[in-house]
Amino acid sequence: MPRYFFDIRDSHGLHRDDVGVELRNMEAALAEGRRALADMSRDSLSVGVDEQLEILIRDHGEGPIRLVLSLTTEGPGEDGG
Amino acid sequence: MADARFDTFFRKLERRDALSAQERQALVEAAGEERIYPAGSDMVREGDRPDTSTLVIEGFSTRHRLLSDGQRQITAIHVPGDFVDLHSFVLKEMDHSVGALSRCRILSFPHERLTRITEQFPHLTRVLWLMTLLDSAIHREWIVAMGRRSAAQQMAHLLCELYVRLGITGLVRDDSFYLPITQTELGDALGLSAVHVNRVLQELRTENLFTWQNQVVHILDWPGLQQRAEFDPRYLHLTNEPR
Repeated sequence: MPRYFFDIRDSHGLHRDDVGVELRNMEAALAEGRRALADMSRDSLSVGVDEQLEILIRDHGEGPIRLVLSLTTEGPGEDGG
Repeated sequence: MADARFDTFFRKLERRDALSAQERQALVEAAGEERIYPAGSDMVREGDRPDTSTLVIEGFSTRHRLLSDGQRQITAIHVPGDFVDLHSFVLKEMDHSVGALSRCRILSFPHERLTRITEQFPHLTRVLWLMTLLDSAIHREWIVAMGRRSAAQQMAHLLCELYVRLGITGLVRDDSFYLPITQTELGDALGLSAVHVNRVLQELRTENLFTWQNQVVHILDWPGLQQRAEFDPRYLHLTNEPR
């Protein structure tokens, strides 16, 4: 099975994935990436801060494919206005 | 008569209660054949009606369920000395599978011999009952972790639990223990994607609580790891008292 690499960008910066995960194909890699974003957002929700989470899926041929998820809180008092 | 194959199991039992020589002998005599399961194989499958129960004497195993879309949830990780399907003795039909994470050496206990133990040794029966209750206590703690803890806490909690459980059976040396599990399998156990498992491990590594290399986990800061996980070993019922 091919190995896919998932680089992650969050509020702490970019984390390059040097280990990778073996998956059937790019479709499975995309599903894995989406699940990872869901897991990551669940963790950041508990911290209570807005965040933009980004995953870059790399393999040796195709890609990278970029998945982005962001949470923004807007409303009275948020910008002091 | 000492039988080294029972060492981990007896250590696990005796951490919770004293066993008489007759009770130990009864367990040794109830054992049937010894078998080896290669890593990745299933020992018992969902839907089976086993006529024996399995005591793992070497190797790591899991209880798991497979979903229709191919996803797997590991609901328990078993360590040497665990009676992995003692409940099949009473439940009859398996509602989940038991698989070997690494090569496993097991002893099978024919159910009719376990029936005899329940008829002749009421205290030993209660101790065996305690073993299945410990399994459910661990399940409860996993549900709490999966439902309410962050992924990093959940991971730290699992490592705390394995450190204590393996320590009881004498399988921790110099604060290190063997843990033959891949990141995908860890994800299946924690209900997380392998990618997030990877990320969480990296995050925890920077906190210098443990190292994890070549399937060996070395605990660097036990109080720190417990604090990170909010780990309280109460659910492992480590008190030796009459049951």
